[in-house]
Amino acid sequence: MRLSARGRKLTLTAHVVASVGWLGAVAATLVLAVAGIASQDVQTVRAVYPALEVMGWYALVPLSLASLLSGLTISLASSWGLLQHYWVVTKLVINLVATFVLLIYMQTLGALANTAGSATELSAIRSSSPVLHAGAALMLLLAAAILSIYKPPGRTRYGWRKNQSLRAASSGSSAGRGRPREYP
Amino acid sequence: MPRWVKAAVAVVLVLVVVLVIGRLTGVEHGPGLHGGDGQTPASQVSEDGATPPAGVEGHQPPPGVEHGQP
Repeated sequence: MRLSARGRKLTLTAHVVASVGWLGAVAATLVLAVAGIASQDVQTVRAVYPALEVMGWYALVPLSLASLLSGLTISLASSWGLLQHYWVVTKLVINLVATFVLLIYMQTLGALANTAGSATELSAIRSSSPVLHAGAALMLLLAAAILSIYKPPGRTRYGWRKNQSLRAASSGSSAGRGRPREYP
Repeated sequence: MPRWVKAAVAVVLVLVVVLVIGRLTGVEHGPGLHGGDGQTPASQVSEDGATPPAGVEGHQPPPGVEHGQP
């Protein structure tokens, strides 16, 4: 896949904005989820779970999909490739797992929002599940952000083969050597 | 394979084993923990996950029948 320099910058900007926005939305979700189990105010606890559902459908899910799509595009359009470096593959796995679990977990958030609307006792409304899931998601997304910044070295077997074939094709030219163009 | 990848794979494997052990030892996880279909409030779900059948209403006897009487 080829992109112009302008297109690459635009895609990179979209990827950074979506990924950082997703991280921020998860942090906000964690704050709300902690309020859900820590607050003594019934109205606050009752309001938390419908808010988490809205946050999920209108912030977390769109941002996760935008991050995944922009990440796929920018990796395929750059010389890093999608499956050539371990840090890119690890980020892809993190993104796929987090998005998949999020989409499944939206069912639970819907159930929690329904319970908050009908149950009368605080103990029936409260749930530690969103705290655990948002905490785990925050850890995963922080790991992805650290990988983007440090870009730890290491090519996959496919990456080595691809690099060798590029070197052979260029036969002495500088193509394929050195550090590829960087992106987060 | 770089050392950091091996470390990450080891951490993931440990987490998967912990999840599997939690599953096998009966720790509930997922939507079923919160009433399943989202229609049944958790406050109305008994410990075995079943909702009380209609008419039972907290083991009240039918009208005209006192406790201890046939």
